[in-house]
Amino acid sequence: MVKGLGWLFKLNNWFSSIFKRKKSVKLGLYGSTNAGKTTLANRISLDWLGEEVGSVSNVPHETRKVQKKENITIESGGKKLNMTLIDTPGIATRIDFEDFKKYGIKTKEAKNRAKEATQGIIEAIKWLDDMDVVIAVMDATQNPYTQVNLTILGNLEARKTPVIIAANKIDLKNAKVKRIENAFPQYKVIGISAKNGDNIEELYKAISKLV
Amino acid sequence: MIDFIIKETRKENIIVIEGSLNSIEEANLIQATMENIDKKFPGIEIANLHSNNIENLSFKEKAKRFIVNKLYGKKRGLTIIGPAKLVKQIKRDPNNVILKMM
Repeated sequence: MVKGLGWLFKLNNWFSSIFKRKKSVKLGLYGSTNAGKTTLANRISLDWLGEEVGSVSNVPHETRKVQKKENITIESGGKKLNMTLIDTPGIATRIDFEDFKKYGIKTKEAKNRAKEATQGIIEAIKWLDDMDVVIAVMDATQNPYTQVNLTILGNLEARKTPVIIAANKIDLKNAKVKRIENAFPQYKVIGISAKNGDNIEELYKAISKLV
Repeated sequence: MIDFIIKETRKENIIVIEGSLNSIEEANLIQATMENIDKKFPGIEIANLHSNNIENLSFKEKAKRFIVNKLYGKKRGLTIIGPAKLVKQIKRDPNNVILKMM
């Protein structure tokens, strides 16, 4: 009887393979605050959809909610990849509303911003379970060996989520991609400038290879 | 453990734990910290001084770690957690840790 149902299993596999091929991949951007996640999300979205994901600012925690862009199809290395781009708020272990006031933000707004930022971080951590592939965005001008970076990479490793490290801000003089490569030698590190689009094609190639 | 850490850091105590949190526990701690942030408690600074990554170690180092893990359990290492109100930054590299106080 089971033998007779062989054609049904084959049909099922055929359908599965079609849907697997068409499946949209969830690509998450994770990192500390001001690493350039939204700048990179905007770059990717502008390149393939022609529209931005969110606003960027030098004030930390500008992105306080997870932002999504669906149906982005990137083409690289002869491969087409349909994905949902998920830009997450920067992860931090401290949020002091007083810090926002240094940027000229009034107390009430600073408190609101801090409250929203805490919610955003909780949301970003919850989303870790849903990602198919992650770009860990790091500011190449800063010491990468931070607890936040280690926690993000450790969590992705525990979930077996494929990761690429984007060493961002290579347009700045004091950017050191090598420092990130040395800190995390087990990961593929690509130096980019999300702002100027430098080396973004390399990143697309790496994403295509990984998925 | 996480409740204890939050309780003590809220009381402005710096905690040194013999042993290391794993990545999932660290993420849970960050979540719990965010849930507890208010005017008096702006968060924590944390440094987990035990690298779980052994890929880049020499065979001798890997063997040493294996034996130590077997003898003392896997949770060796050191975790330093301080209230953000007191500890400005915990600077770290693979071999050192520096607490910058307010």
